[in-house]
Amino acid sequence: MTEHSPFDHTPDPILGEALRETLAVADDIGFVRQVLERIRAPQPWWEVLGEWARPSVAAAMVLTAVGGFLLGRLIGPQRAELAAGPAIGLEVTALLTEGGPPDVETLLGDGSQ
Amino acid sequence: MRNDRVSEPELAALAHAGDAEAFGELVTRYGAQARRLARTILLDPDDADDAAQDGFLAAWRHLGRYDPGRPFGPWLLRIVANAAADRRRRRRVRQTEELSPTAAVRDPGPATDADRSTLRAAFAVALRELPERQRTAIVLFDVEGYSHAEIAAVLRVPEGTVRSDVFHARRALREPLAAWRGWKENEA
Repeated sequence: MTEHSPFDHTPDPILGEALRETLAVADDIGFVRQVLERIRAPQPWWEVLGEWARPSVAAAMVLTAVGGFLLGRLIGPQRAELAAGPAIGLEVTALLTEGGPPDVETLLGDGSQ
Repeated sequence: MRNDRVSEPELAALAHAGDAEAFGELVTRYGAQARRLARTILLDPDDADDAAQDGFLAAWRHLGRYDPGRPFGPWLLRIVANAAADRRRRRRVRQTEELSPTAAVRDPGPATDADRSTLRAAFAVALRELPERQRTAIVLFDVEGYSHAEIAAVLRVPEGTVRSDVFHARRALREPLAAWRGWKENEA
């Protein structure tokens, strides 16, 4: 009997036979019948739903991205205006940045200093 | 069943058009291979048959994606391997009866003597200890006779990886194989 080396690039028939017996499968006819029964049976609704789930999620992601982009372009100028904000008087700025307690005059003042 | 002269691309085209009998012929031709592959991946005979069925069902539903210019076997086995991997992911939470020495012996084989059963059991143990990709590569190469390139397509790995996997798997199976050879020589 010829010894097969692990380096051989051709199938080893003895090893193949041993593995085939180890992985023995029985009742081929029964298996074919079961497969044909399954393909003839109507597909359950959850499987149909499952098949559509992945493309649906992908489509939703694309739509969200496109929608977000368009919305961004639409409200972009308004956001720029908002970012600029209203003109704030020097007194208010001083109130916000000063470390100490605010001056009562400044607080109650009419901003005409 | 149809005779063997009908080519696989023709059978696939007929099946794609809704001919269940043509698909049945493909299941007959590839059923054993698909079941062995699923068993190699899952190491559980019952789960493996369910996975092989899932694979055939997926193939039936996606026959439109099969390229008739290519061999049918690797395309189908790729789907079966995916179905087996998917089933393995789902079963992780529950306990399984893996391909054990007793499971291998339990299957009815042509030989019934104790020696052969013991050798099969030794092979089952050695096979179970191999990494999954090596197991799959050696079964597809030495049992099913696929080329390295075809196995690479099934496993989605480079051809060199398949060669390396087959080499390492063969080396790991040296001991039980030597015992098997010895037994065969005594038989002859």
